[in-house]
Amino acid sequence: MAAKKFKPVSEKRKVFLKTNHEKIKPENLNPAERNIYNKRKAGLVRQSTAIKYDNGKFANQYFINEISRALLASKGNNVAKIPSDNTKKFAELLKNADVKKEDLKEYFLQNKETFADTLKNGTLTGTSKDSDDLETILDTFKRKIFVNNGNGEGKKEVTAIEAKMLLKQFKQKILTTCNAADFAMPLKFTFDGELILNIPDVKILMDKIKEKLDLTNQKNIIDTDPAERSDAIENSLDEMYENDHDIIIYLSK
Amino acid sequence: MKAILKGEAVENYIDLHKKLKIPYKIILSNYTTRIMSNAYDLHFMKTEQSNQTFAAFAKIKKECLLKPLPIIQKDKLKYFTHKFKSGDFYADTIYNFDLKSAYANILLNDGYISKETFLYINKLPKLKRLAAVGMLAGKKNIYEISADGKVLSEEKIISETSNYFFYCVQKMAEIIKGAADILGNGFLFSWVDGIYFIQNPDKVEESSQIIIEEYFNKINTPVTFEVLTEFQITEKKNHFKTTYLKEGKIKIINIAKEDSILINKITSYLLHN
Repeated sequence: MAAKKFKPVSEKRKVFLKTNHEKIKPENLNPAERNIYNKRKAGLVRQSTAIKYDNGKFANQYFINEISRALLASKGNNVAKIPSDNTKKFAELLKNADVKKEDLKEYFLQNKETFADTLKNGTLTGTSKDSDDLETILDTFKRKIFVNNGNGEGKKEVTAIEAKMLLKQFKQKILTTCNAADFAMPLKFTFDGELILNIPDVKILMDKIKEKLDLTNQKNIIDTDPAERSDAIENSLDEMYENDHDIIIYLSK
Repeated sequence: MKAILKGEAVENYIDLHKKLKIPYKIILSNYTTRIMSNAYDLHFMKTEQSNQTFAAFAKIKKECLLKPLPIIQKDKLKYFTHKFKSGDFYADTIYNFDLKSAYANILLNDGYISKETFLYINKLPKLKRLAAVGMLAGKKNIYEISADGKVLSEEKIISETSNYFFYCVQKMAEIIKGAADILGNGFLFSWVDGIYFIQNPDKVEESSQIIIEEYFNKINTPVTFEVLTEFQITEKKNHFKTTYLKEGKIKIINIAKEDSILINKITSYLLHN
């Protein structure tokens, strides 16, 4: 026996179903109408549990998976090795942990500040690492690395070895010229796991520091007052990176 | 050819090689650079180390190597700790203990060097003393650069005695932690070999200074004590900037913020996968 065909749902009826969704009893609808009703219901659920950026757009699945990862980890699950694109696995773990979509959204809203950079710039700014740690990280980092050396040309892709050499040169320069002991900088990642490092061009940095300390020769920087030197370094880095550099200079005691 | 590592000398020679399209090798340590090519062999250093510094290092190295190399988890080494809360903070007066000849004392107390070597090291001025011990962890990176300026390869040379140095770092962190635990809510922060604190508000009847001094005496760790004034913590985006007056001069210590567990989890994943 052929399946009973129903008349297509008119546009007017669709609007009615949408507008009166809460009052309608689905058991009184024909299958076509019930289909529309169920879709609307699913849409409303999705809306209420959706994680969105401040601009109203839905967050992408990678990002949602990372929030899931953090929430699951905070509940004691070891999720470190699950790839960010394994949505199925995350869904399974969330179910096992009895975490509903509303819970995930709530967790996101509670920690929204932590994700602020990610939402705004599409990057995640993490742990500050000192120079030795950075070198160790770069020894085994497999993904793309971009360096912004503060010369106004933005970030450029480099190899891990190139990044290490730039870090080494920067460290040597601030140790020998500014009497620093070391430096630290946070790791910044894009959603694709690309690493972005701000490693200042040492020539540009030294020129700016000299200018601020009213010196003509780099070799005199080390003899300046530590407080003035610290301010000069800080302000120079601010200029190079438009007040967004995150580099911590550790001056010697 | 040897030169002092100041000013733009190193960058100028690197530029020269780039512009003339001469491949070269560059060997970098914290305080020295060597540029080697068909055209030049140049050594740049911050200062010439004295024979005494090298002699002190030679003694330290010889004696350390008689003991098994310590096993160190480098990623667990901490050079500073703090209990800063969010926001700025000010105190008219804080106190500071600095461990005297910290690393040398640890090497002596834990049997890595003899008393004779310890006394030899201590005759050196502070910076030379630090350099002599620091040489235990000497490290060089050798980069090969092509004619068109590309970095082709890297070789790392790490001193065989590094772990003796890191043992000192680890042990010092333990010593500082011991003091911090005693200080309780009086503890502010530690920075390398120094601990900074106020009177423990939970034990106002006991002088924190005296208690900590006793602690250091008990573990045979000589210290110096200072009263520091106008202590200020200013919260920045990724760190706390601390300033204080010591003998009338402003001192600055920047301390990185600890990260949230959330960010740690995410970045750890991104690093290792």
